[in-house]
Amino acid sequence: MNFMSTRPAIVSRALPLLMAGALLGVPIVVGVGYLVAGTLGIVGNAAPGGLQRALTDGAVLRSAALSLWVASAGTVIALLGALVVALCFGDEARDSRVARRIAALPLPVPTVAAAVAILLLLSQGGWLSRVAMRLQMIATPSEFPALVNDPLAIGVIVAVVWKELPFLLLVALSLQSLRGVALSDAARTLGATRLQTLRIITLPLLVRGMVPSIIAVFVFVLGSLELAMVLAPSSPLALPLLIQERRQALDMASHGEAYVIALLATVLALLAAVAHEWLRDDP
Amino acid sequence: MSRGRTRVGRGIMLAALILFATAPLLLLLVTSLARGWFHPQVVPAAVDVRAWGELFTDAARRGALVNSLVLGVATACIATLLALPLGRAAALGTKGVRRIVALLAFGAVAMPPVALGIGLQLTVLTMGLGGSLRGVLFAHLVPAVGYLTLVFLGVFTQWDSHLEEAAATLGATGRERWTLVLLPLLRRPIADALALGFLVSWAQVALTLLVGGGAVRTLPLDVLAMLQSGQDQRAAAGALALTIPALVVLGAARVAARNTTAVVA
Repeated sequence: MNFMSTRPAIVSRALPLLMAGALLGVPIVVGVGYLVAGTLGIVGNAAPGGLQRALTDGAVLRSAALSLWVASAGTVIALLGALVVALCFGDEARDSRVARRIAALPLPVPTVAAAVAILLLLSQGGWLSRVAMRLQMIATPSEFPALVNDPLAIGVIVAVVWKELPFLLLVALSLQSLRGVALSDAARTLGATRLQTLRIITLPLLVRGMVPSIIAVFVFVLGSLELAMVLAPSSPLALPLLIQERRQALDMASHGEAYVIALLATVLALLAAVAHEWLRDDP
Repeated sequence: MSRGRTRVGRGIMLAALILFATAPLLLLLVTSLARGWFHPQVVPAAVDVRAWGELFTDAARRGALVNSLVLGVATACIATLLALPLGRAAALGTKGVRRIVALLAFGAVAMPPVALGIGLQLTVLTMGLGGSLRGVLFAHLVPAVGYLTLVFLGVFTQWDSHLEEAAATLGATGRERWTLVLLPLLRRPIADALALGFLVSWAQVALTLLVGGGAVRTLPLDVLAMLQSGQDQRAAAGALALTIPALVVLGAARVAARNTTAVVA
């Protein structure tokens, strides 16, 4: 007998939905509603026509491209790193346990602290530049390659990898421990080489299980304001910074564009949420 | 020969991993303790702890630290109180209900903070809480409740209700089942949720900036302000002050996980 099955079905259905609606749905609906109203010029002192202007504005498209590039590159590199570490140090050897513990260190570091650390490391006045100068590889700080606030946003990508690799590693390791070695062993018994087993069995299973976490990382990076504030280039601006800039502009037409860009970013995030939920295992 | 090569390869990888994970944190520590550390010095010439002391003695910086602590603790407690019953109710519902609740919870987490902040700003202003600590707390609660709902949904989806059933069979009332059975068993997930709720608020930048309107200064905003004004030593001390509680919380969660006997999730 399920103890909770004594509760009337209508209550067990309506109660959580009502609670979720009040606690989570209302803020989302209000947020999206305000962005839609702002887009239409109803609230926020925004001039109408923001949608058309934003969609034809080269600066907006360049910002979107930069943010998508950073989120994609950061997520892919962090994923590859996590897979390599999980496959090399996923066993119970002593050095593997040390490796896993050390790799988890950046996991709880707040994003703003990670951004400051990467800035101090990679900027032209940073520590690597000092080492390069001591080794006489460069003569002045300006000769050090621009890795921060650079057009390719390398600094942001490094910060994303540093911060998100441990999270993806944690997911990969727990998937590995849940999956066990039965399938790989069966493949090896049937004559597959170690590389074939890795390519056909291990990696596809791991990556498939990691898809919801990969989506979560991608969405998080796309919306991160603090990484963009500290490490991203000033032209084009990353999307969160562009939204801020347009909202604070004196020109009312720019306000409307801010709402449009925020709305588009929100739609993208909500689509990712749907994909995340769709792909998540629910027993 | 091949085994030796493998061992060397693993050693190199381990060294690279240690460097990758620890170098940025060590650099923060050294910068926070370095006086007048100018380019091209690789190692600071003098050490001073002034930047650390200022976190507690300088009124503005102390205020930011206190605001962050108050917001973190309040967010953790309120979000846990809201998310626990929500996660439980959802987990006991149908698969469809679970999916809708999880979708809303992930939506609250995934929405770009700048976009969420614009909407919340209106709500907070309407409530007369614009630029106040309570308004910022309200804003921090939205992603925190989202995160913690996902946590408790996971916990209660795998929950074994046999003990509750036994207590009910033995005549325990609903309240007694909560206080004598559920809450003691939920000690670890609640501790984890409190820690996570604290960290969500502790590291928050965009929502504080938008809803606080610059009037509510927290430690992450203080770090950014120090960085933008070129005060690297103060920024590094603030960044580490942000990191230490997070590391302590992670460590405590691991110790709790090792010591606990009532592992539910």
